[in-house]
Amino acid sequence: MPSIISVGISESLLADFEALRDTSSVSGKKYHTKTIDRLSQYICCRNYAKLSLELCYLVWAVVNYKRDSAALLNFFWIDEAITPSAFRKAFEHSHQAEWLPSDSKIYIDEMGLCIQFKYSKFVISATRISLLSAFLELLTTHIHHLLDELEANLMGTDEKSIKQHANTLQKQIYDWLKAHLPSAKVQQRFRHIEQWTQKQAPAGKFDDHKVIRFWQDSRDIDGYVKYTSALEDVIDYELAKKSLLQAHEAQHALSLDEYAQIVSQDEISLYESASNIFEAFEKTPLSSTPKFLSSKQIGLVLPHITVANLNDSLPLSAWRASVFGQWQSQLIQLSRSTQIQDKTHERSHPIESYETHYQQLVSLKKAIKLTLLSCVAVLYNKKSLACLSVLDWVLQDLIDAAQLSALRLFFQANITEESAKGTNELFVMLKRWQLEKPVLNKVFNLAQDALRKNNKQGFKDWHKYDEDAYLEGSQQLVNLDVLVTKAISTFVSSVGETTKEISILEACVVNFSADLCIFTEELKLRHRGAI
Amino acid sequence: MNQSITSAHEQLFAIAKATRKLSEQAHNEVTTSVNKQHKKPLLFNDIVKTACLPHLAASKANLVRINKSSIHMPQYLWVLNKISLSISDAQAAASSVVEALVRQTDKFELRVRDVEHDDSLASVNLLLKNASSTQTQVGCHLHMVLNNKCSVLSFMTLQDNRAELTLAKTSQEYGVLINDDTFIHLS
Repeated sequence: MPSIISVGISESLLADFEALRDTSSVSGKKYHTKTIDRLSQYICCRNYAKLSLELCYLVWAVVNYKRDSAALLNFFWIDEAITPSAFRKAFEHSHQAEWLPSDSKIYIDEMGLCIQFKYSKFVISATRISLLSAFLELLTTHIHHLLDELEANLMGTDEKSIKQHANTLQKQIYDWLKAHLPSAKVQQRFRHIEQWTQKQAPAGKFDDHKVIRFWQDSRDIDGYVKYTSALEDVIDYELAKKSLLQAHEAQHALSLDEYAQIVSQDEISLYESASNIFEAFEKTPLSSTPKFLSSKQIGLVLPHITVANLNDSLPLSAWRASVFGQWQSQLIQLSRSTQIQDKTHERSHPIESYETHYQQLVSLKKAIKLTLLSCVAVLYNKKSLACLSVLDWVLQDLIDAAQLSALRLFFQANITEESAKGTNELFVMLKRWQLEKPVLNKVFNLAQDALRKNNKQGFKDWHKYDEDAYLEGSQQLVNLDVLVTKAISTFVSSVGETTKEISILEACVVNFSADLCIFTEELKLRHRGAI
Repeated sequence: MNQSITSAHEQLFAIAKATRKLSEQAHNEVTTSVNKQHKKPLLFNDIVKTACLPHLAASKANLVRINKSSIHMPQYLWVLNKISLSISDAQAAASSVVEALVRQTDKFELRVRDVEHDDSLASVNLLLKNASSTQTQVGCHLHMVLNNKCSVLSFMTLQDNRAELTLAKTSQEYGVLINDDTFIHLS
């Protein structure tokens, strides 16, 4: 299994390392695979400070040794003095060098190349030359005019300039890597989570209990004050690990059977389905125009969308984030406030409970259905046959099961892919079916009613917007509806191995009282005086 | 649960998806083929090799990519300037004569003549002045740079410091070679 540090490395940087491994010279491969592995480790771990300094010393020696206008090009690429023996040979007459700045000399000894200044000495080991050369190769490919800059800034200068230019080089590398590596902060957090998981027994994926324990154990770590931050990082980490595993398996082209031992096929498709929901949701915000849902309604479901990326593995965490996460935010706000009033009740207990959160989710589901019904009317008014597809999703709430199945059978018999191509003709047929089938007429009337009552932007003035906007919005509303239903059902099943069926309200009470104890204890430790 | 989600999705928007799928597919095919073409990045080492050993097949393929890249071309020209033994700059505009049939520098002399009995061909004669023994053995290359695009004429065999090539007058190389604005680098 590859390390978590490999997460987020750009395809282009990985391709560069691959290209370096394949680079050829006159005598075969220019760099040993191990050399490039080491270089990629230095770069990906952002551990290039020492390497930059070493490179600047080497470049100083090369450009000052012969004062050739193409010294670097000749040394690293034309003459390829990048093996220990070639490196030693290139500097074998260095003690006779005429052009070196005063108070400095270079010479080869058993260690490698020694660069002597008045008060200090720097040694470049001959065995490091290949690594330094590959490093320069990578930098020259991406930092343009680097060779000119190095020659101009290091020719005829002293040791201070070498150190100064090493710092400049590090900044250039940092800027270049911004587009290719995750931020240092994200890398640090992933490493912290990885170290924490390695200490856990049994090892394995995060579950709700582990998320809480991770948050508790990270009490003194920057960035983990809030439970929601810990949860979000855990989700990012798990997704990162998953994608890393998939990339790794794809790269090593395991057979499907072998692959199935590591990640079951079901898991992959579920993961893909969840990521698609999240991705689609981000592309078309439902709270923009046309406005399908209010920002408050979106906020309510956001923790569930985040957790949906990991499917059923964290059924409780989204509820905890919604209820106790909100409580913690209020506590933090109160503790920061300069005029703390006595709001004991507000502090000692969360305003929301799992029961109220459940009721809000139920209301959201109703709002989703009503908006979908409005979309049916808009699409119908725009003479789009897609109104039937959207209608299908809300029909079960509008008519009884027998009517529903009869209507579906009717559509299946009358609408084929072939007939759907003649949209206009089919739409004329639809109007005729409405006259023939009162049920159908009833649901379209309900849809028009829902549209009339919908005062959100984009529904009174629906003719201003494109049909696709309503179609995409409807698709996302359906995704959200599925997601909310799933969030409720997994929440009920999270109450443990019980033989009897448990109602959602019972689940709310059981889970809430248990979680209230855990969070009250932890929040007391974290926000002393505020609770 | 997964199955119910999938079937719901399939049921929903089936008609709309069918029409969109085709255009997406076409777009994906184009993107994949473009990605495949340029999957391997060009490193600085490739650019140096392209400039130093332009007669190799890999270098010719790389030169096509360099000519299309605004990132690699400056690097290539930088290398060319460093490795060139001599450079013949763009020629001063010579009244109505736009074709430079003779180019001279301190290191080489280049003459382009019509081939006798065949108006469609031109003979390119290169004379190296003070050529080294290495050049005589490994040959030399004329890198022609016009409008930030480069093409190369390779003279792999030299006798008495002279080499000759025949070019079709319709060829791109001939057009570039006789253009006043062409920079010619000898390596």
